[in-house]
Amino acid sequence: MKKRLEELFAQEGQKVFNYLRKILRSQEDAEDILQETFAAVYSKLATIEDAALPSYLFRTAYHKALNRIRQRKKDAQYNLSLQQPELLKSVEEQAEPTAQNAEIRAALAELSAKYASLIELKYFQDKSYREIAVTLDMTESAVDSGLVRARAKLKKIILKRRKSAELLSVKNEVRNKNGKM
Amino acid sequence: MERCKFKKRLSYYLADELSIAEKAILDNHLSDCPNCRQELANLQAEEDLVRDFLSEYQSEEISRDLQDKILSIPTRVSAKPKFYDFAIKFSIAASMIISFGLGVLISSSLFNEEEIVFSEESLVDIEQLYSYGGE
Repeated sequence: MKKRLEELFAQEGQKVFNYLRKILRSQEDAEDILQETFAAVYSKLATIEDAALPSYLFRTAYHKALNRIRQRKKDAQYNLSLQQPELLKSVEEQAEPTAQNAEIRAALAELSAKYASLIELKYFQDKSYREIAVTLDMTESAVDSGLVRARAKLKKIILKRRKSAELLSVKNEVRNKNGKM
Repeated sequence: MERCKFKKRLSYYLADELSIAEKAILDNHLSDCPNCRQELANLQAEEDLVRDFLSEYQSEEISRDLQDKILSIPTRVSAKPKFYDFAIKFSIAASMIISFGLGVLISSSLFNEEEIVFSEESLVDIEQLYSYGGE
């Protein structure tokens, strides 16, 4: 049993971790959920066939991540009601290893968890519609229409972020010029 | 303008999710339909933009510490033996049956006592007592 868990971890652990990092953005939350996911899958390991394990693992991670996001929203509302802004330290403020990763996470965070998961499975894990449908418990046509909408929304987000980055760089240039004069 | 019936299949075409036969039909249609060609070009541009944006993502390694924690799950959880689950369920069921049985026994014995107290003989005794008291 332990060997099976080790194989599953070697094969899928990194993928699931990167997915959780993108969808949750926080390193700490991603690590927590990864542990919880493997613990949950381990308890069912004897009842799941090898071929179905990766989908089951990803689905478990997806549902646990959704719960964590919901919990975060509740906590944020609670903290707001207590008027303790220092407790509302944004996940965005946490250290990011690369600027590109931070940018991609920020863009994906503007999508719903379902759309972000569709994007993850299609563009990061190169899954087919059929595999995505099995993993997220959807029909293939729902995967297609979901991906069309997710892509269109992500395009808008990317363009909006690029525009505001350009505006910011122009502002900084003007400020620098004024400072030199 | 009438909506082309092939329009819905363009995203499948782009994702390479069509069968060879379906793809051939759509290829044939695309050579005749400028609207679908335009739609496909729009979808392709969107796809390229998203792919280009996401391609910058750098995979992050799982720390050694976390890896060890996850791989030590079996020794900590130690495969919850099914016997304990069964034993717990069995003891709950047994205690419920025993308490029900005890309840029936106690209630029936109480009922019997009442019968003794209010039996005909004792009622006659009570009547006699009352009649002596009256004299």
